[in-house]
Parts: sequence; C-alpha cells; structure tokens
Amino acid sequence: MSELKVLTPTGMMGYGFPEEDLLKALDHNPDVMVVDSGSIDSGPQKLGSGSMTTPEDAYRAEFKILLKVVNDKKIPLYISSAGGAGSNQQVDSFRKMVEEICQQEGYQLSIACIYADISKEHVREMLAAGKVKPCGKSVPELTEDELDCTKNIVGQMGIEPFMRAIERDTHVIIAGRAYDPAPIAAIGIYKGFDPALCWHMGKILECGGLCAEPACQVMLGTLREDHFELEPLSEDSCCTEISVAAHTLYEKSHPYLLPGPGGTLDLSGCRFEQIDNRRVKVSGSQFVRTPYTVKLEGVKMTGYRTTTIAGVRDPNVIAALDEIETMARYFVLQNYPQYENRFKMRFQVYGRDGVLGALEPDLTPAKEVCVVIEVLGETQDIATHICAKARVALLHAPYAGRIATSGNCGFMLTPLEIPLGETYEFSIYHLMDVSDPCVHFPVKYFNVG
Amino acid sequence: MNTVEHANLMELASVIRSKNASPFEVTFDIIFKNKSIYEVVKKNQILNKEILAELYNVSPDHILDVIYFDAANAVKFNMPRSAPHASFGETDMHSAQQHVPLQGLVLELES
Repeated sequence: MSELKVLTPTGMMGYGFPEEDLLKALDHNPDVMVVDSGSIDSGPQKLGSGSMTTPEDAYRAEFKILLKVVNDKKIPLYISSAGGAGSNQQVDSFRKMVEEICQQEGYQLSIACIYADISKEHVREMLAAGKVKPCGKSVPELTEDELDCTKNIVGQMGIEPFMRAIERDTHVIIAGRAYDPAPIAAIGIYKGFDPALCWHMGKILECGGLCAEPACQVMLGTLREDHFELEPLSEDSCCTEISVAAHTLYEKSHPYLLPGPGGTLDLSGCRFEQIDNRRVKVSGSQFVRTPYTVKLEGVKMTGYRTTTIAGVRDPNVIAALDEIETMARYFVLQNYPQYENRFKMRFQVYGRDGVLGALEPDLTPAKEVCVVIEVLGETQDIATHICAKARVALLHAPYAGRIATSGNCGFMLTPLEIPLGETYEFSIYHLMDVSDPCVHFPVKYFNVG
Repeated sequence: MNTVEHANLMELASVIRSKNASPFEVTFDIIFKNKSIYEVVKKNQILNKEILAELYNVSPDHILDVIYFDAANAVKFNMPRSAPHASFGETDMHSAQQHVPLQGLVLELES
C-alpha cells in the first residue's frame, strides 16, 4: 500500500458536519472514516452520571449519513470514546443506535465494540503495588480514600485493541475511551506506515478541521512513506503551515513531546510545508518507545448544586458585595445551623473577577455586574435551601450606607433557585503500568441485519 | 550600542490563547508573527517564569514550564488550576479566557 487516506467527518461526533463536504471527500476514495466522540473538556459529569455530550438524536442523524457510506461504499467507520466519556454504557448506547439504523435500512454490517471501564479493585491492587502514578506535575498522588470515593473509572486504550478489530475487517468499530489519536494511528501502523507519522496525523485529525483556517469539520489526511498531507474539504478553509503548527500545540502541556500509550511522539524536528494554498505536508516526526502505561480517568460525586443569578446596577451595592457575601453566610447559618459543614457557598461576580478569579489583575468593577450564587450541598434539598436564604440576604442585606431599601439586585428568572442535580469532580487522572495493552479493553463482535 | 525597544505582545504575536490541558492544568500558547521576532524573544529568554509570574501575581514556581518550540515560532507555559476542572468554584471550564492578562504585556526587545 503506497498511501492511506483517512477521512474525518468532524472533530466531535454529534456536533454536526456539512453533508456536501463529506460527499465531496468520497470522490477522493478514502480508505476509512474515523470520528472521535470523546472529551473531558466540558467536565466530569459524563463519566459520573452517564449523560452524553450531545442529545441522542444528534448522534443518530450523523450515524444515518455515515452508515450509508459504510454500506454503499464499503468504507469502514471507526468511532472512539463513544458518547463523551467512553464508558461501557455509552459504547452500548452507540451500538444500539447503529443496530437500529442497520435494521431500518437493511444494512448487513459487522460491529466490534471495545470496552474501556476499569475495575476499582484492579486499580486498588496496582496502587498498592506502586504502579499508579499522577499524570502530570499538578495531579496529586492517588490515595486509597480518593479511590474509595470514586464512582467510575475508564482507561484510555492505545492502538492494540483497535488492531484486533481491524484484523477482522470489521465494518464499524465502536470503542470506549481511547487516547484520541489511537484509531488513526492503529489503521496506519496496521497498514505498515511509519508509526511517528501515524500518531502525528492521528493527533491532528482527531480534532477534524480545527487545524484549518478558518476551522471546519470534514478533513482528509493522506499517509505516505515519509510524510502525510492534510486537506480541508470546506471550500472556505485552508490548511497553512501556521494553522497546522499552531494546532500541534493545542490543549497539551508540552509543545513537541506527546506522551501516549507505549511511546512518546517527538515533534521537535518536524516540518510543515505548504503544498498549495489549501494543503500542508508534514514530515520529520519521531516516535520513541516507552514502557506501556494506560491513562486512567475517574470521577467522584461531590454533592448537589443549586444556583441563582442576579444582576446589580447600583454602584453602592457593587462596592459592598464582599460585605454582603459575609452577611449572607452569617444569615444562612443562623437559619440552618444544622447544615453547618454540609454545604459550600460562594458568590461569583461577573463584571469584576468572575472569569479570571484569583488571576484577575484588574479588580475595577463594570457599571453593572452579575452575581451567581453557587451552592454545593450534601443533598439537593440542602443546596436549594441554602441558596434560597443566601438569595434573600443578597436581595435585602442592609450593607453600610444603604439608601436604596427595596432590594439590592434585579432577577431575570423565576423560580429564583435553579437546582442543577448531581455534581462530579475528577478524582483520578493517573498513569497505570500495564503488561498487556489489550487486557483491559475486551472486544465483542456483533453482526446486524 | 544596543538599543532597547518596547513592544506590546499583541503586536508581536498572531496567537495568544489559553486552554485546559488535563483537569488539573491550564496551558498558554503564544505564537509569534515571524521567525525573526521569535528568535529575538528566544535568544534573550524574554518570556520567562519571573515575568509571567509577576503578570499573573503568582510565585515563579507556579509557572510550571516555559518551553520554546522553533517549528511553530511558539512559546508555551503551564500553570496548575486553582481547583480541578468543573469543581466547586470553577470560573472557566475550558480555561479559554485565562490568556487575557498577556494581551497587556509589554516586552523589552534588545536589538
């Protein structure tokens, strides 16, 4: 095989893509379609509660388009980190959607599901053996207590579990949590291309057309012996040396060393070259093997959140907000002494330091500010009761020098308190040593139609 | 004799951004407009832990790394997040607005 063409319809399954760009990409005869579906960017609740990144109908609409291509053109479809968190439950939700569509449309397809849930007991044994380490300088050591509190754990699979499904010529692979570049790296390495180029192309294409200027969805990547090539399918977008190099740095803590399962991609010597006004050629990437580790992601439930949103225009109130917050805290505990130490409460002041928090260098407030009261309680009831009392205090607290006595803020919404349900926090973001890259990621095969 | 010029980072860079990198860190990217500007900044290590710590009013050991990347004319540095991603007290889930103080940074360029 002299080249391998990988089509990525979008950087995030469920976010949508222009169907005409996808159809245009098919004229290039791609060998495989690969879509990443996972991200921890918008928080730990997907792994905690099982909620998915987008509503099911958004996934279904994309599956309908993609499965038609799989069926009509015999181009396989690989999906990774199903549903957002890539838990077993989300893999099965995706499988059910695929099966339903295949049955409706009369497609006969083979499906491989690769699961990524990791048992707490196994992590406990590995932790005791000293084989679980923080992933990054800012991550604390994992403790037994923290592990006990953890609800769900997934591991990021590497290329090896994908290769097992690729070997069997599976039409559709639905994988649980995976290292984002893994499915593209797996097919490239399986077909015999340079692992460094395969990992690097995977790293760029897992985000779809985010490497183009302006960013778009549908992208085509072509792997060859000593380089790969990137082309956006949207006519309004271009890949440039700068847009691709910039994307190489995106959302990771080192610009040119990318550690992953089984090795580190070293991009210090890589070259980005403009081919024409829309395409860029990449070469010179290096891959250095390292002892095999799997990144674990785990979440714990921290309670229930309730919030209320208020606007403040009176400059006297704006100046007194810290004083009012102190009064609110006192008022809340006066009313609910039984809830002491069973909740946390804070005011977030947009228009002052609401976005930068402690890093805000300029604390001059705007002429009007938005106060969001955030309460985290042991139960939803506690959170809502505390939030309601804090809201009363915000509205009526007699701060020093008050002359407007009707109320300290304006509300836009009723009911005033908004219960937000369960809240989660990452408790595990650690690397675990493994001896067999496949052992934690079982593959199950299904035939539909 | 060397002359010192003052230049606003906004005028020297084509990208200044921040983003969450793992649930525990925020990463900052500055991509310079061209190789010659980048080389001056790199040669004199104008962007360093001390200047960045002062800008964000944190101690220098709070700035985890300052890494120069020639292939992209870029500098990257990292900071720990004040609390894990999306936990109580979150102000910027994607850490996408933490770059703003950099927009006001004035660099001394010696040429």
